[in-house]
Amino acid sequence: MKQAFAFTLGTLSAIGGFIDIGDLVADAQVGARFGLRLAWVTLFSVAGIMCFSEMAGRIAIKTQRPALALARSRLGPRFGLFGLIGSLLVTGLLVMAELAGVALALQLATSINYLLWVPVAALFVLIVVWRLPFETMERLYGVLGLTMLVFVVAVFQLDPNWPNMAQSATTIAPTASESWATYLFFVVALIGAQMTPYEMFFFSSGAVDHRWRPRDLWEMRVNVIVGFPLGGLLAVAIQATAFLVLFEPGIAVEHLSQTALPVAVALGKAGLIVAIVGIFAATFGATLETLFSTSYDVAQYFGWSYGKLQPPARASRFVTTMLAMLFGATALALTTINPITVTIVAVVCSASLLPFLFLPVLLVANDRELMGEMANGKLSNAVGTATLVLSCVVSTLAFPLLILTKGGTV
Amino acid sequence: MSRLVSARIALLDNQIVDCHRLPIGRADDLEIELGGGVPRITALLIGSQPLGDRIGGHLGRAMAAVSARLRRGAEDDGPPAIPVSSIRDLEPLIELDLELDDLPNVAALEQWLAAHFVERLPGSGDASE
Amino acid sequence: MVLTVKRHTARTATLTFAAILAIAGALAYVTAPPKGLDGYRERAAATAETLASQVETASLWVQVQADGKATTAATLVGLEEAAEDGRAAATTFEGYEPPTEAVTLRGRFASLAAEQERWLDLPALSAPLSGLAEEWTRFEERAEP
Repeated sequence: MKQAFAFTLGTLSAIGGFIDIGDLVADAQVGARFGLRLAWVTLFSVAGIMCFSEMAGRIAIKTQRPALALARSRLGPRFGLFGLIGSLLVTGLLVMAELAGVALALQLATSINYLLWVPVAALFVLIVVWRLPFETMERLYGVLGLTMLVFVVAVFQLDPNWPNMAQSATTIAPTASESWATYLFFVVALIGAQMTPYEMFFFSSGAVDHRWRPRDLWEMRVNVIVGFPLGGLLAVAIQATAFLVLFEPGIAVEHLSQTALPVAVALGKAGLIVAIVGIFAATFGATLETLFSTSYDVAQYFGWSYGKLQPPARASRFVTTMLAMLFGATALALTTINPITVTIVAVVCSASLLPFLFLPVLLVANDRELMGEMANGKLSNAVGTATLVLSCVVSTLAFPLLILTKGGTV
Repeated sequence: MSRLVSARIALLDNQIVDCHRLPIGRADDLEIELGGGVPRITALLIGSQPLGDRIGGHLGRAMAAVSARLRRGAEDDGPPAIPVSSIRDLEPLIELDLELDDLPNVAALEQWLAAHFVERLPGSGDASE
Repeated sequence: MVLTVKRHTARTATLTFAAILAIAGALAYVTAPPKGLDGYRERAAATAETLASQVETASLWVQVQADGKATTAATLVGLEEAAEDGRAAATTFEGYEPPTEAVTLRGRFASLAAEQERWLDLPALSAPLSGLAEEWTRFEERAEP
């Protein structure tokens, strides 16, 4: 019984972790502009992030150390520092974007300007981080995150022409009015939004924090196998609802409200409210995950004590880092900088950073001296290597495409 | 007990924990003694100063300088060094037979932050449960 | 030792300079005003597309609200965002100096933008919104170089 409960918990947090502000924005944009012509990217992202999260989880179980911590041991402090600074910048931007996402969800619910909600959301995050135990925290946003399934219901309620949907999903080319550059830019944006490295590091740090041992290997795998594909399903559902409602009138998505609009069209007031709760839960959960993930990264690089399981005074450097990140994110959000633009820039930066974060995980997972019988098998290596190679291509193209397409606005 | 280990893989950059498995820091550098013609590793050095020196470049030098500056004021006897004789185990982490609280020099920033900032925040006592 | 430090400094300085130059270049490219008649028409078409999208968004919100399918709070947010974004896009475009051949295009744009401003301020009377979106689309097609 306890086991079954643990399954659902981990699975829920995997769903909650997959869908964040990046997905809510990028999936809706893509659906409204290209229909389901980029759905294949989600398939690829899910396979890639599943493979690397499983590796990171396995490393954590075997070595009792999180994946990024081993990157420094194996690739030296310089490479480690580069990865640390890179992921700090990107995930730091994401903390701000997720926090703004929470505020935007509250704005949709109340029509009070989101800037007034930003400090409230930050305070709420602070209280949850400070006072709630880890498991309650995961349960809270995991269960609330399930309300995102309303997007799947909305797809069916919109009664789509299925052959049309299938045709769109199997076409790998831009729609008539769009260029290949824009199409490729959104490939990069979707990969950046869906294969977020912070999920991988959060997952492996969580495994260390929960003191998972080799007998928990299958529990970890079930979380990966069920959680991430469910997250991918939600992502495609968001693309589909945007396709069905926003594509025809030529609406370009620039706001979180436009992500929710198709649900209102499909399911009415109740559906809209559920969707807003879902958006709130997803961005709130992601705020916690990005915040923890960045602080974990710093603490692990320097070997500080960290984690939710330590009393704060025992991990004061970790706690201080986290509070500083939250404060910085709040201040940045309050500058009235457009959170949607920040999100797009953050996911593109994240995409360009992927190979540098995937490489050490792949190397460590293959280290037989360290991993013993839990080292990578053929399947992990095949999928992992393919993902790594593709992420190198994505990484090279990310910034040129961002500039060439002016952030996908051309 | 005599087992060959690689200093680069088993020692350098590895996580150090105390006898209760509380994290102490990382083996940021090694102290090597050349006495008697045979070089011997005598201590693990911890902290941003040895780490910064190893990273080198502008960033590394800045890190080392900040760390050295922060430590000044206390009696300065160099970055915290842990004698290799107190290492109890090397796998998977470097485990010492000491307690974190017995190493006053280690994690000075942690203690300072705890005393001056974190413990003063409301409700800092029991967030773990 | 001194020599390597100097070389380091020189390389870091060059790299920093190159990075700043690249970022400045990218920003200049992204925010540059349109050049020539074709550039102006292209920008007019793109702005019209954006405005059509805002109008369609507004009209969709009004429609779901009228059908009792949306909360008033969400509708208000959606309408305000559409109005604000539309206004910002129109202001940016109207800030560009039109080439002499495009003065009529610019005039037509201004009158459509004024009409939009009127309707978005009174979203309850939104029946004409979809007509307005069509006008923007027609404008976009005519503007395209």
